[in-house]
Amino acid sequence: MVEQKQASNVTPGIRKISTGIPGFDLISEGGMPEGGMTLLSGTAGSCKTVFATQFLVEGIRQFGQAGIFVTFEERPARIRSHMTSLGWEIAKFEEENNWAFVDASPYTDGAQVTTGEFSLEGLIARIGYAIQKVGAKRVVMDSLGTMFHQVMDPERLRTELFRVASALVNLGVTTILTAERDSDDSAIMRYGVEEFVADNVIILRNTREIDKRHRSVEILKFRGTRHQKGEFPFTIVDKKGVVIIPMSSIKLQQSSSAKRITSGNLALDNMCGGGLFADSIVLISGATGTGKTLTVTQFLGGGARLGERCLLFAFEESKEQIFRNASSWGYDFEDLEKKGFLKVVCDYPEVTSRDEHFLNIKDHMEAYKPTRVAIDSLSALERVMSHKAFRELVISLTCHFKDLGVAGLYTSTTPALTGGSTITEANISTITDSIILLRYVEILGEMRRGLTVLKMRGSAHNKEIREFTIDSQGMHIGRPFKNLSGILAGNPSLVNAGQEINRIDSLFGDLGARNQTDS
Amino acid sequence: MEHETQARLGMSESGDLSLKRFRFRLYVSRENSTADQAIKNLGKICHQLGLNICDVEIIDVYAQPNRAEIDRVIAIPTLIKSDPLPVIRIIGDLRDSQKVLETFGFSQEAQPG
Repeated sequence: MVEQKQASNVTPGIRKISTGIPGFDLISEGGMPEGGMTLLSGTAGSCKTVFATQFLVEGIRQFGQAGIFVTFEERPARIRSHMTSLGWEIAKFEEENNWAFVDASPYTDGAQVTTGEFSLEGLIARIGYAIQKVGAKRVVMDSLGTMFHQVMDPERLRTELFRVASALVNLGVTTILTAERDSDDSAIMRYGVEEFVADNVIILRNTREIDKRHRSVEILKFRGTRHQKGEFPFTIVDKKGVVIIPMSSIKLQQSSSAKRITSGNLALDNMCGGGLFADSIVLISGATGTGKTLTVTQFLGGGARLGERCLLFAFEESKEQIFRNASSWGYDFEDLEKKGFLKVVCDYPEVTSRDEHFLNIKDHMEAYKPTRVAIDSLSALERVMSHKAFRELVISLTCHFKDLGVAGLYTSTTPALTGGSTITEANISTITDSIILLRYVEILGEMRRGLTVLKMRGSAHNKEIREFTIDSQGMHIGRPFKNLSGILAGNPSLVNAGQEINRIDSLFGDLGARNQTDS
Repeated sequence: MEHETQARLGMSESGDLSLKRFRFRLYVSRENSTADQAIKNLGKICHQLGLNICDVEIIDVYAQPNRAEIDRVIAIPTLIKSDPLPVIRIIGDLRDSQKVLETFGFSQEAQPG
């Protein structure tokens, strides 16, 4: 907070222009500093050229701002053809007078030698001419490193770069300058020159992480203006280009709606104090076979029967299996899907990276526009990524659900059959609005099922541990377990009433205690 | 203008077709101190090559940026020898006329003119 204040007090004047690159305007808190020069540094293959090109393309498409591409490396013809694969028709932009190339690629048509003093004013004059010709607001220079091969003296080049930089500032354009690093650990620029001319530095990385390539972007500095700190993952999407996923940058809001919706089970609604909140996120935790998928089925089926649009992301079972399960509990998912009230998306968690899972879920939600979404199960996703990555994914999903105001249901599988909590729970219990535990209860040589509403943010709820049974009609919630304690800890024992009251505080273990201090 | 008088110094007078003609384009910026140097030095070079066989055009990059675009000029001064082939480009103020002539294919002993 202190830092925010300082930043805005010191330089109130720096404005930003939206890049139009998905996610970037969020992490940069508004886009590129207007009229400034931003250095975009990264190793070979870190997508510098794609990022920079997209800055121009989106400028034209979304904001009607023409752009200049100064190429030091490749001939314009090659750039045009490379970018077609991303769906960017540069030739068309050129025809419409929204785009101009300045070809500063190495001269290879004949011999070229150097003798005596020179300056880069030829380049400056051409850039100025191009800017004037199309009325450009945005300029990309890609990549400056190549200049060092063409002109030998780095000292002289440094002076000349200052001249180019100040010329561009005078022309009032916003510029991205790309520069190549040797590796992710080395200096930001190979020649240690470019960073002196740029007020702003952005780094692109392409690293290996658990057998998968992982791309990320980090804003290292924005002189005199605020930005989000840290690395943010991005992927390259067909027809879109760079898509940044603003994991962990989003501020988590709590459920704000007072509207209640049914969980699909009347008795469970009653335990929750009259239903779930319409924009809340609920976590269902339980061992395998305790009834998590049934809870999901009720939640989606209950919504779909009322004419809501419900979306399921299933990472553990096939569509056929899900439909079969549903019909054994009295829900005709096939019919509901046919009528458009339900959509089931099945995927293997291992198939794609974390970022692609997120984008996939987001895309499906954009296309289907559901009011209810369930993910069965989060644990399946957790297996294929690090704790940190998983937590970021859940936060991002949760934020996304809340942005759209949809009700979300996650399931999490406990490793032990009785009792126990999951790593998933420990990681994300504070993120979710409600937690419902499903547990096996062993009594006198018999396995029975228990259910309790552990947390219900913003509402009174029933705190009993109720027994439930499952049959062809679904879930039937019955009476609380009497004279039994230690259910959630996994070792129930019969007690008399007096003892039970004394033990109630410790009944829920660590999770319960933390939950109480949270709320 | 000094540029223009200098530019004419190499204009052909004889029209002798038996001699090889040299065609030069020199890109400069009026605002840059290297311009005068380069023009002076090119004059010396033309003297050595033979004034009557040199055509010189001097182009200010700010006045005619479209020409600079076509010739892909980045640095100034840039001297382009377009005739005879091969095309040769020389960047800098041309202070080392010996190096320039060698680049054009003349050894010190066998200088024309």
